[in-house]
Formats: sequence, structure tokens, C-alpha cells
Amino acid sequence: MPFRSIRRKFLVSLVAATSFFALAMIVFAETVIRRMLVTHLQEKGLAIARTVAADSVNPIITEHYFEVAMAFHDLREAEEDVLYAFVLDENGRELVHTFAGGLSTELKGAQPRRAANGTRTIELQTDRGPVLDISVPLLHGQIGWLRLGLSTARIRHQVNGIVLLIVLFAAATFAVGVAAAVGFARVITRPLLSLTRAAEAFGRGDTSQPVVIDSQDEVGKLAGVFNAMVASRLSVEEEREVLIEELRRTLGEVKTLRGFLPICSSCKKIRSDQGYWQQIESYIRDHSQAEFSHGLCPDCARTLYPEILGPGGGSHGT
Amino acid sequence: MASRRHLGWWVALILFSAGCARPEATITLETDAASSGEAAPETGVLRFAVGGMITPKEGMAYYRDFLRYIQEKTGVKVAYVDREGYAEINEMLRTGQLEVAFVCSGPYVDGHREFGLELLAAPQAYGVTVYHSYIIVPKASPAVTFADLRGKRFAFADPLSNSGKLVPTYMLAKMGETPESFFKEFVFTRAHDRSIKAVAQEVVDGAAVDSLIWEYLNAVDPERTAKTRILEKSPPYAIPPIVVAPGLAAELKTKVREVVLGAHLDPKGRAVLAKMKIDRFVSIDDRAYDSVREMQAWIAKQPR
Repeated sequence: MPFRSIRRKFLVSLVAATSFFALAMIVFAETVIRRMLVTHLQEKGLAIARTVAADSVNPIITEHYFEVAMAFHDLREAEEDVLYAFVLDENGRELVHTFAGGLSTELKGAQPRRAANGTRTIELQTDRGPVLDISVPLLHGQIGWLRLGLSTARIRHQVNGIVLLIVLFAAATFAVGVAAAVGFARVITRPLLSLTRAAEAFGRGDTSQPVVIDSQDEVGKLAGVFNAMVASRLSVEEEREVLIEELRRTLGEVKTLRGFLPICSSCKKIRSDQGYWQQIESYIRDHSQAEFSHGLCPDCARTLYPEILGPGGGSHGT
Repeated sequence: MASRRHLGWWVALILFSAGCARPEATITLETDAASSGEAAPETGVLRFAVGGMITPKEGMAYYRDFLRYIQEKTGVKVAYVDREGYAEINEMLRTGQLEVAFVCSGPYVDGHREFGLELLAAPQAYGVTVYHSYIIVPKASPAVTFADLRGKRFAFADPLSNSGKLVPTYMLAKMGETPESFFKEFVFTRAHDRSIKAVAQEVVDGAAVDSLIWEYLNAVDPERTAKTRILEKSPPYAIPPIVVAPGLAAELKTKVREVVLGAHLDPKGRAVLAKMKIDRFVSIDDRAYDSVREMQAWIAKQPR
């Protein structure tokens, strides 16, 4: 298992999170936001197309195409998204359009004329960029169809602007995040490194390196626990040493009486290893650290001093 | 700039290489050759004008089926022509740009006098071949007679319209007034239905409209006349006819006349006429329009 530092993990996580966020936002901009902008443009285009269509009916019927052409040109000047407008009669013949040249057959046929009265919008890729082509019937399609072309180039530009902002924001977030991660990792890893060094020294038996606690977080708590553990361990060690020394000293002082002691059944003298008979008190005193204080037990006191104690009297030793 | 422009697409392509991109062929919008937009004049076509009475949009709904019926029955392709103004239609009839037209009684009289415009047939509506000029006001108007509109805003239809201009001018002349002296201001709406709308919306205080148009709208879409009230009805005048250009081939003229006059005998024709609120088409004599001529002459004699 290769070593992965916390700092490196932080950085990798940050790069991954920032990149994912940026990509998600870009996809969001390219799909949802773009679709919203296109829908907005489409609604606006439909409103314009319906109004223009309603205004065009009478001049189209009366073949006053010049009026319609002027209205189309005014519209193009007022609405920068309007790329073109033209009218096809019910047989598909062009009646009026905004092109300086001619209306291409491709564009004319891009939307099939339909029997239904509804409007229809399609997206076209044209030599002048992407276009929303809106088709609106004139008088329920009885006199033809109005086609309005709205450039979506501005939407492309707006989405690109949003994407650029996202990228810049992600880059700024990444830069700030890296700095924060490095600092954060340093704050976290410094006590950990100190703790590691202390643990290693402790393992070698060196208990002179306490971990400096300068934080109240989990790492600080861990260092505190470690220090407490070391202190406790040292305390136990010290107590053990004292106990051992005390036992050692006590053992040194104790004289052990062991084996068979020959004792007189009558006078209770004990025969020493040298063959001398000694008083039991002197023998025990010589072979232990015990001292004797003399007194009389109640039975002996009654025996020796019956006149004083009587048969039921008692005495305490001195 | 290019990389910036396509930045989003690069990402989208990476993520959705299969799903997002929709390869489409690029189409060219414009061709080098300028197209005129004008169709070459068709030959063998009967050009039939319907304009001047009501707005082109309404006229399309009103006349289209009738013209299709004529095309079907005559076997001659009928071109629908509409113009906002009788003067333009009369000019087209005079110069051979039109063969047949619905025109108002006044323009017929003018066209007949100026270049020999001929009657083909006249509609019979509500059992008669006459119509009126209705002086209408907003429903809540306090006006009781036409004289109460003095100093008000007024709407005429077309300058050549009989019911929409000539008749109210004649009525004013009888009162010793002219539109300029009587009204605060007046406008030409170019269509009777537009005059009705102007009165309903109280854009003007009164208007002179074709009784046939008011009754038609009152029958098919009463909401459009509900906010108006008929203040006065003029005496009856000969109904606006179908006319033909003087140069129209006799055979074609006969064929069209037969179809028009016999429409009420054919179930399909009857349905078309019913939609137009017309009983049938009948032949009509030029003398039926003498009352219009007399009115024009009387007005012309008045000092201005």
C-alpha cells in the first residue's frame, strides 16, 4: 500500500470536487440554460411572428407586398435577432422576403407546408449560423405562411460567457481551495507529525518528548490522550520501580527460619548448629529480627501468684 | 476567441459524445440571383375582385368559397383579387387587369359612365335587391337623430362608396351641410366592417355603413355589432352588383352569368350563398341605379 499523505489526499479531493462542480455547471449551462434561452427566444419569436402575420394578412391579400417588405425591414432593424422574414403563398410561391438576393430553395423547403393551422419552429444550421425558423399560417394557411428566422448566435455567445465565468470561478475556487487545503493540511498534519515522532521516541524508550498541544480539535485531543497515556505509563513505571526497590530491601532484611529445630521437651531450650542449648528467646533473637518483651500469661500468673489473682484472676503482659 | 466560442461544446462533446450533438446539414439562406417575388401573369384566368366593401381578411372568408364555386362550375381558373378601395378596382377594370368584380353601387355608376362598366348580376338578400346606408352610433350614445352628430367624429367607408360616403353626404347636403362643416373630424376606414369596429370601440362617434355588411356581421358574429346602435336608415338603393369589364369575351361573360344566376338552384351553390346571407343572384337593370345617379348629380350641384 503506497503512502498517501493527507495533504495529497486533500489536493486530489479538491481537484476532483472542483472539476466535477465545474463540469456539472458547464453541462448545466450547455443544456438547461441554453434550452431556457432558446425557449425564451422561441416564445418571443412566436409573438413577433403572430403579430407580423396578423398585420400582413390584409396587404398580402391586396397584393401590397411593398408594405409587407417595409414592415419586414423595420422589424429587422428593431429586432437584432431577426435574420430574415418571408411569405410563401398557399402554393409555396414566394411573395415577399428580406433577402437582397433570392430566397434559397433549401430554406424554402426546410419547413414543409402543412394543412394544420398551427405554428411550427425548427432549428436550422445555416451558412449564417444556427437559426430558429418559425412558421406561422396566414389566415389559417389560406393565403400562405409567414416564416421568420431568428439567429441563436446571441444565445451561443451568452452560453459561452456563462461557461467562461464558470471556468474562471472554478479556477479561482481551485486556487483558493489549494491554498486553504495546504494550510489546513499543515495545521492537521503538524501535531500528527509531532505525535508520530513522540510515539517513535516512546517506542525507543525515550519519554522525554511530550507532544505539544496547541489545538482543541480531534488531533489535539489525540495528542492529549497520548501525553496522558505516556504520563500514566511513566507513573506506573515509577511506582513499580519503588515497589521493586522496597521488596528488594525487605527481602534483604528478612532472616528465614527453616528446617527442623531440636528443642527440649522440658525446658524448651533449642540446640544450635554448634551443639549449644540456648534459651528459645535468645535463639530466635539471634536468628531473626524479632525482639521479646516479657510478661505473664493468665494461667502462669495464677500459678505463680495464686494469693493475688485467685483461681479466676487474670493479668496482662507488660 | 475560437476556443472560447467552442469551449462549452468541447465539454459537452466529451460528456455526451453520442447524445448531445445533432449533426445537421448546413443550408444556404440566400441565392445570388434576386427573385422578383412577382409571378408571371397567368393566362386563361378570370380575375375576380372583391375589395372595397370589407377588410381583405373578412372578404377572404366571405367571398372565397363563392369564387371557388364559380371556378368549379365554369371550368375557368378564377384568381382572387382584393384591393382596399373602389378607385383602384375601377381602374383595374378599366385597364383590363380585371375581368369581374363585386363593386358598390356608386363605383358601378362611375365606371359605367366613365368606361362602360357592365352589370352582370346583383345579389338578392332578405328578399330584396336593395340595401340601405345605416348611420350607426355607439350603443350608449345620446344621439337620437343624425343631426345630433354635429361636431362629432365620424367615419366614412370608401370615398366612392354609396352607402359609406355618398348617402350620408347627400343627407348632410339636404341639411345644408357638408362633412367638413358638420363634423368635428371625419375619417375613411376603407371598409364597412372597420367602420363598425371603430364605432363599437368608440374611436368615432358615428359611421355610415352598408346595411348588408352590418346585417351579415350581426347574424354571424353578433358581438361585433352588439356595441353599436342603428341611428337612422337611408332610403333603399339598388344593391351593389357584380360587374364585368367592357372587354370581357361574350362567351365567358355568358358562362359566368349562367353560373351566378343559377347558383341557388344547385345544393352546393345554395350552401355558398347561405354562408354569404344571399338568397340568390338576379339580373338587374342599369336603371335601378338611377337613384344613385340622381343623388350624385344633386350633390354635385350644391355650392361648396
